[in-house]
Amino acid sequence: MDLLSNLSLGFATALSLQNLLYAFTGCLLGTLIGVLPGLGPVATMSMLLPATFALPPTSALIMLAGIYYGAQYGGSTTAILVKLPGESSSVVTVLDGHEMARRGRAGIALTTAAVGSFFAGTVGTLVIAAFAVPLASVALKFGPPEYFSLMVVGLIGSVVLASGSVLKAIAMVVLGLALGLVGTDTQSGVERFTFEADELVDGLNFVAITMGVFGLAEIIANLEKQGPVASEVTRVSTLFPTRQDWRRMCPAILRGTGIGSTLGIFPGGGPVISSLTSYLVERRVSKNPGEFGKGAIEGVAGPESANNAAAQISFIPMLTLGIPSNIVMAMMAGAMMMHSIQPSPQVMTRNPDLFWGLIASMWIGNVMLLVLNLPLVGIWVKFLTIPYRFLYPAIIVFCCVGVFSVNNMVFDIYQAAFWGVVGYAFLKLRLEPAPMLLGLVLGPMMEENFRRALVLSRGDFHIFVSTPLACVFLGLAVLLLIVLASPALRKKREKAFHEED
Amino acid sequence: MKKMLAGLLCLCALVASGPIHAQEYPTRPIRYLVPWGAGGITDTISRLYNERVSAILGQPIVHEYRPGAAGRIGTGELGRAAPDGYTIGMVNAGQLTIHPNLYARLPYDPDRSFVVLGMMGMSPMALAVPVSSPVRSVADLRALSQRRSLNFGTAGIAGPHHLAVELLRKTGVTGVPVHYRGGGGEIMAAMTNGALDANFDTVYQQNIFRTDGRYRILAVTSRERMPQIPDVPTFAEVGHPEINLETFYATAAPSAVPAPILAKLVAAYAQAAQAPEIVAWLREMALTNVHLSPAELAQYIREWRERWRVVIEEQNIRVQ
Repeated sequence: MDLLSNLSLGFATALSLQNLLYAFTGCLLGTLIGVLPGLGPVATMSMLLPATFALPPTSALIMLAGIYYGAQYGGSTTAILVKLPGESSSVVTVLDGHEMARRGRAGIALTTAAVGSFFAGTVGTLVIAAFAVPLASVALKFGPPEYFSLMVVGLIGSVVLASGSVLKAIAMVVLGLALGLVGTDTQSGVERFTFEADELVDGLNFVAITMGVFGLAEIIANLEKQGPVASEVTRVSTLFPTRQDWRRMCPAILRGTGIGSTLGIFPGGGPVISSLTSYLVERRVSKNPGEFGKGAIEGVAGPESANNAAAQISFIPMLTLGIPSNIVMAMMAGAMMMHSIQPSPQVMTRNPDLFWGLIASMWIGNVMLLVLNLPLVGIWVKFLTIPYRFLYPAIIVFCCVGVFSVNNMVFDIYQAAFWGVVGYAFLKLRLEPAPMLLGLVLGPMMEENFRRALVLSRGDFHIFVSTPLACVFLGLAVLLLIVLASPALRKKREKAFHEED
Repeated sequence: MKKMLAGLLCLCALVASGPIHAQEYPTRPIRYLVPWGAGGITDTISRLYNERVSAILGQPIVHEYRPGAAGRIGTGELGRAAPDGYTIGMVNAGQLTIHPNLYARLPYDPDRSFVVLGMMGMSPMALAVPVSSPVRSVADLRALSQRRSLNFGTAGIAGPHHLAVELLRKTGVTGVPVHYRGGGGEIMAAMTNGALDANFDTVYQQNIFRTDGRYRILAVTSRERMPQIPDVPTFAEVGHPEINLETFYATAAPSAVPAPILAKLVAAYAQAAQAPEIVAWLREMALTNVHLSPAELAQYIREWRERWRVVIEEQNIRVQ
C-alpha cells in the first residue's frame, strides 16, 4: 500500500508539465550525445550543471538522470553501426551487433537494443521502487575478498567470450591485465610504468584505448580496400524483427534483465560485468552457439538489457546510502549538494517528492526513449549510406572530441592515435580486442581488492574463502575454467571457427 | 589558413591587452581551472563562489576541469598560465602542502608559481568508529589498539585521511592504514561489516553516516567544536591538542599577476565569502572560513607544509 501511495506521489511530481519537459530534454540530449562516439554523459552533465542551478532540485535531477539513461540508449547505436562502443558496458554489444549490421540487419539490431533497454529499464525502475532498501544492504556485504573473486569470474568469463582461438584470447586478457598495472599502486603509492609522466599516474585512459582499437583501427583497415568503397552495411533489408527474431530475443531480454538487476547493485563494474555475464549466459544456453560473434540476435538483446537494468539499479547506492557508485552518480550527488540536499539515506524521508519523483521520471523517461528511438532507427540506418569519405573524418573528429572530454587532456588524444595503430596490428593478427579491454577494466579492480584483502588479513590467504559469497564466486570461476577446458566445448568452438573460414 | 592567422592575431592582441588595461579588468570571460573532475565538493564550492564573483566582476567565469595525479596536473597548468588575471583556479592542501614533501619532481613550484588570493573553505576531519564497536572515546580506541592490531580506512595513500591516521600514533592509537581509492562507499561498507575499526574523513561525510546510525564520531580535528555535532569533543579537549588538522579549498592565480588585478580578485572573493548563502552553505557542509590576506595565506600554506613534513618524515612515508 505504501509503495502505491509513494509511486502516486512520484508520478504526480514527475507528470507535471515542467518536469515532463525536463525529462524529455534530458532524454533527447542523452540520446544525441550517446550517438556521438566518445562524447559521454559526464561531459554533457558537467556542461549543463550550472544551468540546473536555477531549476528546482527535482527538475534538475530529472533532467540529469534523463541524460544518463538516454546516453545508455544512444551508446549502443554507434556500437552496432560503426563498431565503436561508447562506453565500457557496450563493448560486448559490438561483437554481435556490428556483425548483424554487416549482414544487413542493422535496423533489427537497433530495434532489439531499444526494446531490450526499455524492458530492462522498466523492470529496473520497479526494482528500485520496491526493493531499494534491502538491495542496498546486500551491497554492504561486499568487501575486498568478494570483489576479488567476482573479478576472477569476470576475467575467466572474458576468455570464454572470444570467438577465435582460446590461446589468443588468454593472451589478450593477460595483455589487458598488464596494461592495467600502469599507474599508481593503491597500497604503496609507487608509480608503476609511468616514465615520470604525470598523465600516466592515474593509469591508461580506457576511453582512448577503446576509441583507438575499435574506431581508428577499423577506419585504417577500411582505407586499405581499393576502388570505390561501398559500405558493406548498406544492404538494409528490414528494420523490424521477424517473428522468429522475437522468439529468440525475448528470453534473452528476460535473462539479461535479471542479470543486470542482480549485478547492478555492486559499485564499480556493475554495467560492465552485467553485460559480459549476460553475453556468456546467452552463448551457454543458446542452441546454436556457433552463431555468436557472427550476428546472433541474443548477443545484442541480452547484454543491452543487462547493462540498462544495471545502469538503472546503480541509482540505489546513491539514493539509499548516499554513496555515488560511478562518476555520473557523483555528478548527481553534486547537483543535490548545490541545492543543500545531502545525498544520504534521509533523502527518502526528508524529500519524498524528489525521491519518488525521480524514480517515476525514470520510467517516463524510458517510455520517451522508446518512442524517440524506434522512429530514429530508420534515420540512423541511413547514416550507413553516407560515403566513407564523409563519414570517416567525422567519426575521427568526434572520437578526438570524446577522448579529450574525459579528462580535458590532449595527451589522451595521442594515446588514442597510438592505440589505433596497435588496433590495426591486432586486426591483421586476428586478435580480438574485447578480452583485452575487459582485462584492462577488471584487472586493476581485482589487484586492488586482492592487495586490500591481504592487508586486512595481515597476509592470511584464508580471507578469500572466509565468506560464503566469496566462496560461491570462486566456485563459479572454477566451474567456468572446467567448461573452458572441456573437450566438448573446445570441439564446438573449433567447428564454429572453421565454418567461418 | 588566412582566417586562422587572423584569429590567432586577434587572440594575441587580446592576451596582450590584458595587463595594459588593468583598471578595466576584466573585459572578457575568466577561465577557472579546477584540478579535479566535475561533480563532488571541489566542483560545487568553486561554482557557488564563482557565481557571486562573476556577478561582482561583471564577467562570466568558465570552469575547466583538469583532473589527474591528485590535482598536480591541473595545478601545474595553473602555474604555467599567462599571469593576466584571465586564468585562475583552485588549489588544495594536497598540491601545496603535502606533495612537496613527497615528490622530488612537481610540475609547479609550491611557493613561487602561485599567489593564493582567497580562502573558500577549510575542512576539519572527524575520527569515527562503527556504531557496533564498543569504543566510546579516543582513550577506548587506544586501549583496544594495545590489545589487537586495528585497521584504519583511508581514501588513498599520503592523502590527508591517511596522514591523520599517522599523526594519531602520537596519541598511542596505532593501527594499519588500509587504502581505498577515493574512499566513500567501500569504506562505509567495510566499517559497517566490521573489516575496518576506524577512519578519518570530513566532518560532513562522517556526520551523514552518524545521522544514519552507522558511525560513532569520537573527536573532531578542529580547534573548536563543530556546530553540526556540538556534542562531539575536539581532540584538544580529550588531551591531544597536537591532533589539529584541516584541509582547504582556495583560489590562486599565477604569481606574476599585476597588483591591481590581484587586488580586484582578492576583494571579489572576500566579498563573495560574506554572502549569506555562502555562509549558510559552508555551515551546512561543515566547512569553516576566515578571511586571510594573500600574505597570510602564503604563511598559512608554509606552516602547513612544515607540519606535514614533520609527520611524513617521522613516520617515514614514501610513495616513490
